[in-house]
Amino acid sequence: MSELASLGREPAVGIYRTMARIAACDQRIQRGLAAGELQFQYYPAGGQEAIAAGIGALLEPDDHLVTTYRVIHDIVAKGAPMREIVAEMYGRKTGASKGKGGPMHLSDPRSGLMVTTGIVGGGAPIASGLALAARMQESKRVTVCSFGDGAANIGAVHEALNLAALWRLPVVFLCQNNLYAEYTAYEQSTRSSSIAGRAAGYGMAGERCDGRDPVAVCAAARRALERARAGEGPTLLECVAPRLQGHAFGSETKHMDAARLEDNLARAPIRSVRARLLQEGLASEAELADIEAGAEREVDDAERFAKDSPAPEPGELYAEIFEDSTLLPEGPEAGGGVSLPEPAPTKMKKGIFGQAVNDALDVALAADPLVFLLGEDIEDPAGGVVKATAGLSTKYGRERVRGTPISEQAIVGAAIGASMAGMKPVAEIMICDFAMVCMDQIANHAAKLRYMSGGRTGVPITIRMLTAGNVGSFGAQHSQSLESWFAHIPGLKIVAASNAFDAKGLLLSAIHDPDPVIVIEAMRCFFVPGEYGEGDYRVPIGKAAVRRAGTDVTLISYSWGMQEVFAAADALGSEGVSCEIIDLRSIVPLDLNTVLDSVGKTRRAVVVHPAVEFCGFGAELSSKIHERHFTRLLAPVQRVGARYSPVPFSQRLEALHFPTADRVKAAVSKAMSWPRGAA
Amino acid sequence: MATTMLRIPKGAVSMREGTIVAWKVASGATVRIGEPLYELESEKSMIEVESPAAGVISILAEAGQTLPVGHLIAEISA
Repeated sequence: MSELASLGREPAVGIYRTMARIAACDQRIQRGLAAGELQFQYYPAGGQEAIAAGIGALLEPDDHLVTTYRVIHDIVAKGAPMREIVAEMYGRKTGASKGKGGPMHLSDPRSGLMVTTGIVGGGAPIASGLALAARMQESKRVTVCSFGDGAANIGAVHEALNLAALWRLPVVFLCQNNLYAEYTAYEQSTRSSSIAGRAAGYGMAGERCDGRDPVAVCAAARRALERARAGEGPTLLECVAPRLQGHAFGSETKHMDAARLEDNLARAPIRSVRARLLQEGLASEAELADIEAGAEREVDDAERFAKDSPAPEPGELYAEIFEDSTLLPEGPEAGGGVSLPEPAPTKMKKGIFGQAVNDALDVALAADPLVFLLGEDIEDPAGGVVKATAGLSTKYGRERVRGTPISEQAIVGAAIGASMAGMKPVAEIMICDFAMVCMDQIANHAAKLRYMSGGRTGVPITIRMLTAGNVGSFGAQHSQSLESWFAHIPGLKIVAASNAFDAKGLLLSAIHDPDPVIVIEAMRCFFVPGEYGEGDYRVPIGKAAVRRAGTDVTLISYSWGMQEVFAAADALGSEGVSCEIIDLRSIVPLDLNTVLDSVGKTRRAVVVHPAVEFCGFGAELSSKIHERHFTRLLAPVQRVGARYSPVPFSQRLEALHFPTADRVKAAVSKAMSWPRGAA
Repeated sequence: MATTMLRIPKGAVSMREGTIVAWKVASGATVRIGEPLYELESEKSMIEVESPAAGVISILAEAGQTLPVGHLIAEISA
């Protein structure tokens, strides 16, 4: 072990000061828990203080940190204010995240703490994205991604490491190996003898060091940071520091080898570093006692501040889900839809839906240097599997139109991270069904980071995804419509255009929207000829379009469902039934006003969508209509969605699965002849 | 003079109540921070609760009692 003096007296004492502040905060929280005053699940970081303090001493304030829930050492070392940390533990409005994130989701972008995730491994893809933004912005900023040995075995980390190595991103993947993944010992979950040893497999630098020794940590971290700042790519840095207590406060330690635990406790870095400072004459007993007393005073002050602070106001429940709370589907500010004017481009051009998508991306890339695209196969000559991005990498370069590995978690995570650092990424998930392999990034991170940070961060990303349903031959895993999955997660906006004009206008709105927007593009619409405007125009997200006025029944749909609705309405018209047709265009925010106004007039409604009818979006919409118009309706709202089966391959069966104009017609007839139609 | 209230802690996510198996200190004793105070058993685990404060402890709940999380069991006066 090299002398602490090799770090210099001031830095060595500074590292101990940070360790003492970490320990004081950690101990105080555990005392609050022991007294029964605090009641939450707390994951102590005892034993790992030297890792955070060592690396923290080398980071610039604007360097970014993404970390995981065993976190107190990381956030104190990165410089988050002690008062706000403790107030967040108490769930108070003065907390770092206004009491809405809690100890597992604390962020403080002012000190560079961008994300604390409660999902093991979930931060790594986002860290790559923050690093990507630094690269694209030509900044010297480095992102450190802190995770445990348990996270090294999760897929998201693998995808993130590969992408970061491929793109030589300025990120340090910091594996804090405390030899336990929750309650499972390292040897019981990992065959490889070191995590850093895996670095070679990714083509990146790897290094393993003693995480209890600040000298070793600083030496390795300095090399990793220099590498990142010099444009030489990422490092997988493993710092080994055995855990000194159970998984969480109050956990038993039966899973830990008692002799080994005792030995590790005797070698706790908070004590060993103190002893070395004294031994080397770098600090006197009085100086160290002063540092410790200062740390206690700081935590005293923070604890008083937290206890004196009020809980968040009830109005905070609905605040910071979207940037604009009037767009929520419920709550005191919910507006029931937006009333912005329709765009009126001066010149129109003819083209298919897919060309309108391409044009929107072209317009956005040309106008705004913050916009960039990423996804599988999107570069030329492929230009996307349905040519949505054809020509764009040639025109704007591969830095801004970035083909990726087949790594959906890395793609969405990179978009999330880049957006948090000011970029406007447009990610492509080739097929909607593949969203399920990155649902954690979409649902746990993109959707929630604004809320969990108390509005201090936001995720302005666009995720385009194609659904290949009802075009024949794609089968069960390339054909689903998952909009109601997304709609069930507060924080996500979802649009699904039915025509070329809206496809372009909604996509441009999505790209410039402050919140994550999922853009569902149906293959069945993709090659349909239409018309769209030239230049930049925006179709408001959250505004439905009344496509046809009518008096007998309101038909409500979106995406390719509109094709069946128009066909049914034409046939019904010739039979004397007058249909009013609403194209929702946005699922969330939902333009409920337009729907309710229409049904209030026609007194009958049929909701049509390509997704499975059972638990589909139609169920929600139908319920909303009944709640408002129960006594006014002449018939219960009818739903026409896909049958409750996986999408079958055989075209004969696929035709039975998906909604058709005939089924829409039958539903209208049932509504028109109610109650006779009830049978 | 500061008094620290000692309540049944939430030792695990699912814990609703806990049993004081045995006190390791006597009422009226002077305790130190980190000194083991009592053994707490819940449906999932048995843990030793350490003192969150220094001072003279006044025990309000006897061993053997099963009490809900948050129930006051002792006070420590400094």
